[in-house]
Amino acid sequence: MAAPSSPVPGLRQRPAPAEPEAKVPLAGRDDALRQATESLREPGLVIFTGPPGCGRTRLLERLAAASSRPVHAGGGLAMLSTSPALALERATRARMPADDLPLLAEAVYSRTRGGVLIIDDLQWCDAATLAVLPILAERVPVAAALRTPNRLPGPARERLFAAATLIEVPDLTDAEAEALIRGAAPALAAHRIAQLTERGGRNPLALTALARRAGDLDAELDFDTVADPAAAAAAAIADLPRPGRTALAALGLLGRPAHPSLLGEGAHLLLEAGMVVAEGRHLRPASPWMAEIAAGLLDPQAREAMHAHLAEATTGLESARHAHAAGLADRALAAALAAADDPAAGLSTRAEALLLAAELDPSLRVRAARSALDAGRPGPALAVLEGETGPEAALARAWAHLAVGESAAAARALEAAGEGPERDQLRLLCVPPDERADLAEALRERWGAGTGHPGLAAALAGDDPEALREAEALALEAGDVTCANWCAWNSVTALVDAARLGEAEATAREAAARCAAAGAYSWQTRFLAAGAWCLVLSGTGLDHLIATSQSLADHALPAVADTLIVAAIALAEADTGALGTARARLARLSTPPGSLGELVEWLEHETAWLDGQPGPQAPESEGGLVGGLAHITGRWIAYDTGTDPAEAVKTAWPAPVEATLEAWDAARGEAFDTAAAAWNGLAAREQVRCLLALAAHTGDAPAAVAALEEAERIAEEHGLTVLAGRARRSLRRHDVRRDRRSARGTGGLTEREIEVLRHVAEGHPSRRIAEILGITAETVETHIRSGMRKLGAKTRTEAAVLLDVGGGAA
Amino acid sequence: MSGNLPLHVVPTSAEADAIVRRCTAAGWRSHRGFALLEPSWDLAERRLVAHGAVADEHTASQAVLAAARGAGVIAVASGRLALALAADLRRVGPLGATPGRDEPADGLDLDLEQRALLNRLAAGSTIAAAAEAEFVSLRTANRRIAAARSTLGVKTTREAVMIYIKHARG
Repeated sequence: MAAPSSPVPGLRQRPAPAEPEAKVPLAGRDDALRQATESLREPGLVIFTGPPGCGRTRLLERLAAASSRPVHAGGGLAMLSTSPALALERATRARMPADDLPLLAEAVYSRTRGGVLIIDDLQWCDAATLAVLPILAERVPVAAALRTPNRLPGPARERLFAAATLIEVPDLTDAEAEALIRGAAPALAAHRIAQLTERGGRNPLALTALARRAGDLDAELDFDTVADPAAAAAAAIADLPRPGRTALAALGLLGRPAHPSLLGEGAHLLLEAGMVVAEGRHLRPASPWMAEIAAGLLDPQAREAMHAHLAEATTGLESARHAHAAGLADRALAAALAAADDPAAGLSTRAEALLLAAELDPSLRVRAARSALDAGRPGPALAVLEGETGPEAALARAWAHLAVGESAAAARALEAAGEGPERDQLRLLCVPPDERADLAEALRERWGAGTGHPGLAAALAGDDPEALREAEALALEAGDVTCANWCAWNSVTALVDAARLGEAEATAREAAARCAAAGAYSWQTRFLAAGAWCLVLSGTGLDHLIATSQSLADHALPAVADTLIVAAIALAEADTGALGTARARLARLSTPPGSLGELVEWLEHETAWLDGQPGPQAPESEGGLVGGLAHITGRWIAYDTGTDPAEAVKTAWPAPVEATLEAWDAARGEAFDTAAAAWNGLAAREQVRCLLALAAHTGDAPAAVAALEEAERIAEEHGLTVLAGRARRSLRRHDVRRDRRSARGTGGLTEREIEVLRHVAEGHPSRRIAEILGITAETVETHIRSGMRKLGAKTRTEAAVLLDVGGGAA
Repeated sequence: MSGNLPLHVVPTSAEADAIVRRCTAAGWRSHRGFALLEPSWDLAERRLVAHGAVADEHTASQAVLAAARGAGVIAVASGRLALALAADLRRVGPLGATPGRDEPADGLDLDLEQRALLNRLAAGSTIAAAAEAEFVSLRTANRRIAAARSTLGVKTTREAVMIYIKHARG
């Protein structure tokens, strides 16, 4: 019924709201929705406001879905923003008389009476719609959404806001953001989700778009593909007023929070729209990804002009970068050199600045390469030396080759170097191990005891950790960072080769901390990777290690660090039962650097052996701990496949390796006892393998059972799932059964059948399930078959699905 | 409301023709051009699908209006215009729906053919049986399943089926 007091229904002057509602930040979307539902129990106007992509439309949809009254949904459209009353026509599904406001109000009311009117995208509604909404809201509940910023004419907006309850769409909560990403990319690992949330901010559109392309984070933004959500974001940004667009693009080019003065008049606009967030005195984009898109939308001239402006407004390396991007070579060079000479600059900054400067002035190339080496970045050092000749360049190039693990290439580069202690130091570092002693002798004769050159002294120290430590201190004192890092690195590898894993790990950790403090991040990652490798070999905290190492592996790392960390994760994964993942990881590894080739080859054989597919041949190996492990794996492969093992070259093996190989040669159970004791506290996985070998070789059944039980216990304690399975299988051969048969579980399935089917659901083949559970593949097949029969499934996949749906999860 | 309104922006007229054919097969009436002279505003019951090339702003706004009134729109467009058109059409309804079949809203980026195959596998079909039941060759079935695996980021088909089932039914 029309209000009786007014001659023209709906044109009654609305009393001014008692007081503007205090803005209380809402806890989440559910809260916002609840507040809107509450306000719409009676006629009134609720407007959701927020920046592009914040999920206003989704909130309206949820509101509509929850409404008990009929819903009439419409809204503005960008291309038809001047079309009279279109938003209302969409809602009422009928032509509307737009030129007569009272008539329009009456027409809409007659069609929406008793229901709820929903108008999306107010920013594209025409004047008639905007004018009639406050009137309608007196008689019908109206929910609407408005993007900020928008270009609504001032008076229309004021009239609208005066009649409305404004609800700012709250940021996504952590849980909401995670649920959103999981929905779009179900198989994404947890740490990647955190990364995406960081980059996308709390913006649903950005998060969805990023999650969709999660496989390839650095893929070029493609604005021209209609289906790409980035295109939707780009359209929203392109619609911003120009100063706002410029300010957002500036944030994108900067890639960091910035002071408002840097962003011009648009800063205010973005802040008002909630697209940037104040962080101290700086402004941070609410969604860094949106800022990147804004920068990507700039045309080349505008981008250049903006870089020039930013070069003006920033200092140091950043200014040099922007000047370079703006094509101002002289200015970029001057700024880069100034940044490199800044005593407060860290190693990385200095290297970055000099590499930039060398691009502009070729005479700086050797200096830039040296600086990059100090920062532990041999790749860029090699790149900047491209085409450079001369003795100094040769020395730097040799260092760089050495740093990526290519000794042969380093030796070749040295041929162009001039005489001197540094060249001799490098020669020593590049020489093959069997010639090293002779060369060291010759050099000692030539230079005498006091070389006065810390680097050469270090190189002469060879594999002796104590001498290396002294040389490291000497080099640090002399300010030669590269040399000090090399000393530390050599002592880590020497300690690993001597099977002194604990000390190696401690040294690596200490060196990593020192590099972190000095800002040499590439060296730091290398030491961190080495530390992780030591921990994996010793079998300490494998699950924890996989999680923490993964975040390191996600960064772009120098080749040595990258290979080491992948190797560490792969071995940890293989030992803990994720054999498929581990082998895929190793297969993805590109050609490892020369010095790590042996290690990777051993790992490939080791994981294949753990996976029950021992390779036909033992891995090639030379000396050191990894060489020894390769031989031990070779013995196992020979034992499992019934072939003859490769003869071990007689070299000085580390004591535990020596003991193990001797035991294999003797093929007596008792000998393995000594070997197992030698590994105790050093490498749990090798200790377990010795105990397994003991049981396999001894003729004494009680001793075998005791060894196997010990092996099972140690393996389980350290999370070595696969080796524990092997121990259990051997125990069964001795008629010791772990009673895994149990009460019937869900739907008549035994717990063992459920366990096996759960593994099937995870995509493991029977062979691997057998390894993990320590039963034979035939038994696994039997479990699967009986499980399938009980579930009435025709295929394994169906069985896994039925188990999952039927609430087998318990 | 406009649940499965066919709304498409495609780069070539060959693609548009293919979609138009599928719409007419499902009982929709095709109409060349976007200027609709029907007397009533609401076209939702008419099952009309307008198609043609969109080369200027005016035609684009006509296409958007047609969609708003409840007609299907299959537009051939490129560049910025295509993006702007797609952005507005998306406000009317989901892009890319084809009549006759429902577009599920579980957030998984799988197309209907892939879903059909995964459903068959979950119900106990072998790949060969699923391929036959969906009237596609074994090769095509394998290709679609492989695409689904890579979309979901898993290595085995069984994992893909499990993820799909959890999302689609859970």
